[in-house]
Amino acid sequence: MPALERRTRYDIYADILETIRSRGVIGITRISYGANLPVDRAKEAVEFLLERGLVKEGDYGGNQGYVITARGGEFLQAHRTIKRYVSEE
Amino acid sequence: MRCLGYDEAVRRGVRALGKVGGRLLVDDATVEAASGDLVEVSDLTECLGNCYFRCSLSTGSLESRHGDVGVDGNLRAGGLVEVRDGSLSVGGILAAERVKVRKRLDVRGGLDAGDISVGGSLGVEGPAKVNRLDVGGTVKCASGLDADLIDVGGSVRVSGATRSSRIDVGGKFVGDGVVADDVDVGGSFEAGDVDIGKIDVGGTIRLGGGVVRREVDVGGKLESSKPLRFGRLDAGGKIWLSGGEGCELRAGGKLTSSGALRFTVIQVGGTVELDGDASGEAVEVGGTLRVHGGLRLSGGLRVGGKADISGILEAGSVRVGGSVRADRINAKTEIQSNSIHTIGGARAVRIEIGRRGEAHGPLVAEEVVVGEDAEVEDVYGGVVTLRRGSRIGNVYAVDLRVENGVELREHVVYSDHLRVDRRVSFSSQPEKAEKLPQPPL
Repeated sequence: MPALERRTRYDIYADILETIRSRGVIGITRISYGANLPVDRAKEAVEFLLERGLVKEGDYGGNQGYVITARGGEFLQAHRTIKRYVSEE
Repeated sequence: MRCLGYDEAVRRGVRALGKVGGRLLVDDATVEAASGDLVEVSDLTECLGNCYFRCSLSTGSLESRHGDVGVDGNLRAGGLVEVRDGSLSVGGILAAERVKVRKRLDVRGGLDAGDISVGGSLGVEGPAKVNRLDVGGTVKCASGLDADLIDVGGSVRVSGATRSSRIDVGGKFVGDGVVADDVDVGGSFEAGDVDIGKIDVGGTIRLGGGVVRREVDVGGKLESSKPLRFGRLDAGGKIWLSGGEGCELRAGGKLTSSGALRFTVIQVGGTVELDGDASGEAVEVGGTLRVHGGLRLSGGLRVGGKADISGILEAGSVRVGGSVRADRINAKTEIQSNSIHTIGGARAVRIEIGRRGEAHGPLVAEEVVVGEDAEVEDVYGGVVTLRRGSRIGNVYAVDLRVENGVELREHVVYSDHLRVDRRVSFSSQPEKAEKLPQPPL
């Protein structure tokens, strides 16, 4: 079985964005579950993404949480492209 | 039955009501219309637990603290409809100033409201007309959507036309015709005929043609199955068009167009394939350019690799790293390439063939430079320089400079000067003529 590879910070951002994209509006706890991160680290990463406009905060029918922006989607796309170029397979 | 603070109260069970002057409390109960189909409440209708109206309801406002609310007929509220911890289902039309639902909102008729805010999903079967639509999950509208602002965390699917000033969607948007000023989608955007100001999409865009007035910015791929008019198209990956007209086209990967294309600038990292005539100002391609038709440019053509044009190439200047192939090439200033392949010839002020390059078809220019060890058919020029080791067919020049080891295989005619280095091979004696023959183009 191949050894688990350590995720780069950009892999973590991509995992967070993918979790948000697939769920619609989502809170920090569920982001942490989806991206396999402790809540405090998930918070830090989401703050980083928020500052750069890759995610945004919203209140939908009383549900507060984060949603992905087009810039966030572009990051995900670019991340997938880079992964494809550097992948060993 | 009256209850403290309410003019009418229905607790569990089923009650028939007509008009309620004031406030109505419904606690885990079902309400029916005493006569006809309508229950009218002049002030607030408050629901606790799961409440069901087997009728239409007209009320000042409706509030549910917890549980689901169902209305068989129409629900009309002058003010707010709020379901704080549950879902709302309306069998007919929902008309209200504001609607706020924590979980799911289903409307089988039409929707006519000011602001709609839904935490979960929204489904509308009739036409939907709202001012502002905020939905955390998914939106499905079966008969069009008209909203000033659409802000959805998940995905949106609209059958029928969508009209909006701003569409902001986290996941995927799928619609028919879309008229909007600004579209911002994290995932993918699919629409039929569009009239949009600006589209910014993270993933992919599929359009059925139309107009994008200002800009399309897409992280992945852009496809348009019908001709598209555009301001600026910028794709991280591919652009696939069915012809169209616009300003700038920029793609990291590939640009394909299967119809005639008019543009200002094309800038592509990889490959450009145009099926049909194309015209614009400038084209810059990192890899390969293929045009199944003619290409007319007022400015420059720059190609890193290979340019293959099945018709006539007209440009301000042509610079191709590898080879350029066309029926005929007309450049206002210069043509610079390793190889030039034409049937009718290439004409410019200056033509330069690179080292070990080749040219098929006549070259006509005021200045022609044939690189070292290159092989060229016929040259008609003012000042012609044949570099070391090059092999030439016919040469007609005013001023001819022939370097070491050049092989001149056919006629050499000059009108002014001939300078020849050592070890030059002539198949026939060079001729000095008063007048040179007319070039073929």
